[in-house]
Amino acid sequence: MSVDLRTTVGAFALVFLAVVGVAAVGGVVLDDAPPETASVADDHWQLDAVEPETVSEGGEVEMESTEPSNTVVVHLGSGGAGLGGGTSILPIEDGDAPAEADIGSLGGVRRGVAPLTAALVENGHEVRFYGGLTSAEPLPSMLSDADAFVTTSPGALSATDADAVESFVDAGGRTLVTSDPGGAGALTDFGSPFGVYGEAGYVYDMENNDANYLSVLVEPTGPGALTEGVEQVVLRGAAPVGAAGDSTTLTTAETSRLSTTREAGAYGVAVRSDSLAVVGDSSFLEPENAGRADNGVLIGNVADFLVTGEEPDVSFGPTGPGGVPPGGAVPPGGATPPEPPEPSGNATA
Amino acid sequence: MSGETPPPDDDDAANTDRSPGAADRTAPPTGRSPPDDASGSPLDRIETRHAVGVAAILAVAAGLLVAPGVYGAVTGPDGTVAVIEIDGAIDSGTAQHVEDNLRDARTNDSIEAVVLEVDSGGGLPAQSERMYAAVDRTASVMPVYAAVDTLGASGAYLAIAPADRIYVAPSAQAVGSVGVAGTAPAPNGPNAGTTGPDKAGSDPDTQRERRQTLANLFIENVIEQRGDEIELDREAIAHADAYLGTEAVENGFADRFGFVGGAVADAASEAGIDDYAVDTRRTESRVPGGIPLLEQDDGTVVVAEGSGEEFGDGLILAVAPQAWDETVGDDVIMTSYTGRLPADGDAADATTDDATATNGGDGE
Repeated sequence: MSVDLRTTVGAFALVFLAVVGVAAVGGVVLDDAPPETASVADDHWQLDAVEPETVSEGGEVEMESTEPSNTVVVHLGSGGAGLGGGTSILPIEDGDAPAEADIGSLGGVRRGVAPLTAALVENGHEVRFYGGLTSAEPLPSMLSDADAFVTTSPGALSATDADAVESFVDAGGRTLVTSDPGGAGALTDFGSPFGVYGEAGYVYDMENNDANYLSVLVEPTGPGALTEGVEQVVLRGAAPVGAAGDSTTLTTAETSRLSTTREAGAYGVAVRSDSLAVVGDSSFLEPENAGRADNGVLIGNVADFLVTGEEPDVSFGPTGPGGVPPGGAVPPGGATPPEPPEPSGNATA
Repeated sequence: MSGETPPPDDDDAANTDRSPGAADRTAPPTGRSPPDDASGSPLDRIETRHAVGVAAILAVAAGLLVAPGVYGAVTGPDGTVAVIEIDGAIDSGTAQHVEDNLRDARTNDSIEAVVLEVDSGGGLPAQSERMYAAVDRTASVMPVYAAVDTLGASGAYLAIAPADRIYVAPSAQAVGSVGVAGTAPAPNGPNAGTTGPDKAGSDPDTQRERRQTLANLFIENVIEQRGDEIELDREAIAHADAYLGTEAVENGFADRFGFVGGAVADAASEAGIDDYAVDTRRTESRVPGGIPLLEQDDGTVVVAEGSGEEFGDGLILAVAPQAWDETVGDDVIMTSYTGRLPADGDAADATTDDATATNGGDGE
């Protein structure tokens, strides 16, 4: 019996195809595709679902008073206004040359009160900046010719200057003090003669805010010259302030909380004591914030407040506080050395 | 069998064993046939006993070939639990590692459950979201458990939020931290180098809104996945606190105390595999390749400055404060309200109450 080659090859092919065929059919039958995964839910990713609520753009800065020209002295400290309000350290106006490809700068610390000063000048008033102890003219001398005074950094006033401002306020000079979180000690030091104090911490609101928990919404407590036409103001970083008696003019919403205690409640962030107005935030004066909510209306009211009223009768002669001779070329400090610009501001905050 | 028969009766015994009837009837022709075919095919000369012997040897060989597989199939694990590491600052490399391995877990039939081994304080929000999606997908087809040691916070918490169960060490130091952080919004000045006012950065209001949008996405993701477990309301979650392990189990940010080992055992049990293997997938390197490393005196390895892989200060990050330094270095300073005085100690002092602040100079 000889080997039948055709049969052998045929048998090989048959068996081979059978094996491969079984593998193929088995693969099709037995192989299960990767398990179906559930698709990832994305309804809550839609912008509508996660876009924060914000306040609407508000009114412009307008003054109503028809006062003749007043002189307003503005003091800003050295660090710029509104750090707590979310505006970081800006380049100093008179500082070094602008960096890189800039064609200008944002304008330094004076930029932080530009809406207020612009409104004042537009309405015929004079604005003079006081730059601290290095200024050519000492503060008492400037105040003796001034009708109003603004500082965004009471802690940066020297003891002598603070005494001068105190006398100025006592004499009826309209004064606006803004104090950001961290300045509670300095504000209390400055304001206690008028029954005004600052509280440590800051106010935040997780529910009613302008896209950030620090951007609290504040409302007037009642009718008043400062809050006329104001329904809602946005403060970018508010420090609670208080006053003896009930002279709070602006408070936060009930949903806000104080950082130090986490207690929810309405916190006073602005008070008025006769000719002194104190706001626990300077950011509302900044150009970026002046257009939010009714901040512009508040700024206009503040401008009116500053230029309204009788001219303060104050002199800083040799009998004045600190014994500063008017017009003295040498900054005060011989007999009573000025305190550091930041007396205990941080430690008490 | 035939080899055991006595040699004298070999032929007959073999023939009778195989086919007794046929052998009897055809015995005479069979006995005569070998001489007839001796001049024919060599195949015809092969004795049946030889063929049987060869077949037996081949069978033994084939059996030995197959036996290990059968033995393994009988005694081996019923399935595998993959342990996938999420470690360090979350960037593209982390997300790729986790996503690739989770995809493998879903397509590999032998992998029946996944345990995420977590020690990360977060990183980039989008990459965290990418891992979130991969974990969510995988958890829909098999048990996915996460085990947190020290850090399972911010972006890392977002990534593990869809897990079926979160284990934490009692002494875990940061679980949660549902929020984002970056430099504080600041206006941009005129810049002749850009072709539009927003090219150098959006205006502060828009920056603020976008940051909050990212935070809301994070919060919504967590509520979507663990809203039923977490006992805090949305506002409390949005406070973005990072909890200790003990607190996290109490408030629902985590499910129970435990570590990777226990999570692996529980995941295997949940998947119904008593006898399981563990396949650990570590991140290949703590630091992505190509970055020059410096070894400090205390033995820690840091990424050298100037490497292009640091997170820029223009990015908003999902990073817990506990991991801030290692994630962003000195470029972005998180200044707390009661923080230290800045070096220049000016009026900026403690007024920096925002969660973050720039280190200045970049706002022109």
